[in-house]
Amino acid sequence: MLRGLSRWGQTRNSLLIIWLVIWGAIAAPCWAGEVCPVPKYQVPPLPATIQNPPKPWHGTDTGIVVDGFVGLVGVTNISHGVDLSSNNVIRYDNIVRCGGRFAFIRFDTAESIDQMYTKHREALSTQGLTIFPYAYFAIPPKLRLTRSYSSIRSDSAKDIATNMQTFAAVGVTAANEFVNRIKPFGIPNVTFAGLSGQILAIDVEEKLVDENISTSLSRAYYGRFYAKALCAWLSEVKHAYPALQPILYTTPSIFGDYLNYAFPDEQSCLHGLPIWLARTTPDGGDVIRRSHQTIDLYAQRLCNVAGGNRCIAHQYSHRGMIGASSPLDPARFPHVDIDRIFSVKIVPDGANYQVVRQ
Amino acid sequence: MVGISIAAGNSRVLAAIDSPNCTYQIAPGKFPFRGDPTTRTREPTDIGIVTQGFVGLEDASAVPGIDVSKWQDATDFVFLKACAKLATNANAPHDGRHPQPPFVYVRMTAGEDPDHELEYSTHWANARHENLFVGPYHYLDIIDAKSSASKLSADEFSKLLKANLDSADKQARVFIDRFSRLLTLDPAVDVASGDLGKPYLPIVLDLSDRPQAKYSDDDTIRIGSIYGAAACRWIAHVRSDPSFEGQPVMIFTTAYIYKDYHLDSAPCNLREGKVWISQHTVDGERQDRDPDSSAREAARQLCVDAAGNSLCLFQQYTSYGGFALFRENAALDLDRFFGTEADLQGLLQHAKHPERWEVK
Repeated sequence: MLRGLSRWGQTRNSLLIIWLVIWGAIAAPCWAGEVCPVPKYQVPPLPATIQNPPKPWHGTDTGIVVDGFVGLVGVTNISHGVDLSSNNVIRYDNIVRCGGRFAFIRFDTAESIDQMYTKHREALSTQGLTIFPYAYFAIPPKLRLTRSYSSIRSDSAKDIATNMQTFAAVGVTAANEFVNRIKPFGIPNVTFAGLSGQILAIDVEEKLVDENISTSLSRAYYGRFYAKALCAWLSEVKHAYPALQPILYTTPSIFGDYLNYAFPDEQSCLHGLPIWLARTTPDGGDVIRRSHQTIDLYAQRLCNVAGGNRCIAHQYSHRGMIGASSPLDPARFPHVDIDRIFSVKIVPDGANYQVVRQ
Repeated sequence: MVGISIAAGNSRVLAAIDSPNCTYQIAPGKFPFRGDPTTRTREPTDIGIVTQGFVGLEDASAVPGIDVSKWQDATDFVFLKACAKLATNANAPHDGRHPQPPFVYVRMTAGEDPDHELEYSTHWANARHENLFVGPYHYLDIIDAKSSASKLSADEFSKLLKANLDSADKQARVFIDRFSRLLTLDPAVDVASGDLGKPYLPIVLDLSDRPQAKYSDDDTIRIGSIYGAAACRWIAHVRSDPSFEGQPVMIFTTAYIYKDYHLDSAPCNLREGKVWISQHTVDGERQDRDPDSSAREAARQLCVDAAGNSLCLFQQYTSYGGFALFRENAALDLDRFFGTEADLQGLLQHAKHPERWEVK
């Protein structure tokens, strides 16, 4: 084949081969077990060498671009890990080598079991990581339309009761489907960072589909019904798995715009649950921040409950390239979501209990 | 947030690494004044000095504080606590069990409609998280006459009075239900047996509604008798609830509202549970040193009883504490308690009968 190439083509291929040899020489130690301390970095401040390109990768992937886990200055009780789904093709050994101790693994989507669940779980549990499955809790799109809630007021008793029934039924139905789906796999009973039981994360991020035309009150009412569905789901799944310890995976705005307005019964159900917060902070730092941004206002409102900080897990970047070598090029190295979990304590209250950071 | 306390003249400054500074100044001082000071007697909200921190008093102890509602929904409670340390002794050891400054009054409810206030639970939780002094308040909504009150017939007046008394009862029920349920979410740590939640500052009834404001003095006086009766009804209702039985209920109001509506003639002594005065002085001073002599005199009438006792325990001195916020140029009501932290501690109340509010 080379015989048919132009002179430039031959030169180009020669350069490519040379480049690959050099890159291989640089990268090889990494693959072969280069030291990857845990944590590799401590923030704040973010080291000048770490980039955080403003333009998301693949449309949604934001956060610092790092080749190792990131600790927090002055905080010692952190465990590091990743979260994975069928979107991720990774070298599991790098996660372990760089100090990863846990992995959230997507169990299902709204439609079906994640096809990579078993592979991810088996590969990482073999390497000694603690596995937490996470389930997606979907609200049907037809129930996520602003117009359904825009005229509801506190005296719309019939509308409120009807919606509460509808959403409770959504929660029960989804729970039954989930229980049947996960039966062959089970939910592992684990102890980790002060948490114990059948730890299951629930992905809670179903906003109104036409949020841009919603009002604060229509969001509040949808949020109240959403909370009803979620609590019905939790109650039903807990019936099947009494040792269930739920963690809610969510964003600041899901609570700030919706779930914070839950009616008192649902508030009692949700207020103490630990949160795994999706928030790609600019410097990879913690979730409680001082700024003039609504996202930080919502994070404080969500995390800082009376018993402590309930954001016990933090997904701080979608652009973790754990174990990679510089330059960190997403075209050559797959990137994953990276997370930290803080050690927790249980604080009893008059309604139930609150799971918060130690 | 990492802060550095810096001495700067007679004020102290908290320099935050990634935020504007927070200062502590002493009144009387020179401040920008937002809003028209000549209209303040008729417009008690969102007016006052623009500060970058709490404003203390030259020769008296005062504990700094704020009050929050859905209208002041951008408070950064973490930074707020750091700023309050400038106003107190930042190095003083704290046992971590008792609440700390600043105090935060959280609006629980406003009128009959629970949806009028939706930020109460997160405000309360955020303040509790910082282990701050925290207390609840209710805004009393008066059902106004559709026209001039002085022209109402006796029958119309009687119906309006009944509607307001019924409303006061409903408003009290909404408050009691919401506040009690919220207290069940307080951590059970250090809560005495038989107590519902942790201690809190005295319940406050906000009397800043201004029915008949666009009519004459005769109209405000006439509706004032309904106003006073409704306020007394709300207070009596709350104080007779088994969980809050006998607790003092403090009123929040301005000197001119109290005077214009003749609230001194209410069927109960509205000042029995003490007074939190809203007086936004141009120099940050306390109400009895207001440079405006007529405002000072009106304040004296509200704050001092016939025996010469001082009744005003708290003062709201501006709506523009433009610091410790997640939003630029937003409002933040600043308040002070006249006394020491220990005095404030002495005001804490305990709700009872947690069994009434257990989650089934």
